[in-house]
Amino acid sequence: MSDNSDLVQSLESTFAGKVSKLDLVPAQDAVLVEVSAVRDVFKHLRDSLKFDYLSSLAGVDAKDHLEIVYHISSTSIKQKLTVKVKLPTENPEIDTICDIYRAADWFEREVHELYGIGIKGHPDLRPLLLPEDWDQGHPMRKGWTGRDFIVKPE
Amino acid sequence: MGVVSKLPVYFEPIPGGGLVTAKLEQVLDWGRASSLWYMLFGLACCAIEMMCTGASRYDLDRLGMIFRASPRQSDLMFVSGTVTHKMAPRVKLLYEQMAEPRYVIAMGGCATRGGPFYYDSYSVLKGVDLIIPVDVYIPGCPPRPESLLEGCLKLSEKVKKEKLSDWSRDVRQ
Repeated sequence: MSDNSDLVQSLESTFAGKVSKLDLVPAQDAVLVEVSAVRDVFKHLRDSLKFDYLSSLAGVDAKDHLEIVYHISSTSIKQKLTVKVKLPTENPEIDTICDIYRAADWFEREVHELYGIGIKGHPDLRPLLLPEDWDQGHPMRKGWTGRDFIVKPE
Repeated sequence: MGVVSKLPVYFEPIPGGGLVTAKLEQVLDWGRASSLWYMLFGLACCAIEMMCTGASRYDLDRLGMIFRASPRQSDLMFVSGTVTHKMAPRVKLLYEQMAEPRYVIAMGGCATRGGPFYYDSYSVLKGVDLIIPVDVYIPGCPPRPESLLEGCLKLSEKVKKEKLSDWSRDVRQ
């Protein structure tokens, strides 16, 4: 939780219109990135701003839209950054970043199978956590039901 | 004749002789109930409790139970933990690889009926008895080693009551 607004501001000015500041609770450096600019932003973060480590990559179903949340950090300048991308519920697609951060590989497979988000350019999108013969859609989506799924009564 | 004096149920000495007579069924049941070798196989947090039960403080060895690292040599399988839909075919395969007669203890809430994952879970099998027959259910999350020992004793009681005529078929199915 660093109070380093320089980072967010510099990102906003470098990618004008594509990156905007996010106010999260608790306070942290966070930006919202347009889907089209994801690869450029992460390349810039890795090559110019010393963010060399992808800690996590998670999907979120916010009901009216989907999100991917990236947490990246820097081992040299000791900073963290949260990057969010909003995606539509219908046919969500995003570019892979697994050639920029190798750690994204399995995270993206997970997001792909559990949320049904298309990962363009990913080399290997086999199911990672779900059974090999899974045919029942994307179980982490809100309102999903399937075989043997028992909804908790109110 | 130390064994005979300890086990009057199974052995009868002939007066004046060194021979004993007993029903084959009872001798075999006694032998099997006293050496239930279990499979070295754990699924989730219950497996930690199972390891504890097998270790020196609680010591399953006292019941003649030692783990075997192969289903071919095992008599008993502890289903120790959450069975996911992905794991279920593997559990069934391991069970089928065990030589008959074979026994299953469902350990803890998950193996019994899905436990805390009964509601709102896409990945958890709602009880291992949906895929393989179970002899003893042990409640708990996870069960304490005492509970597991109790379950093992219940199983050996059951084994001691088995009939030779039951062996050729799986009467639980």
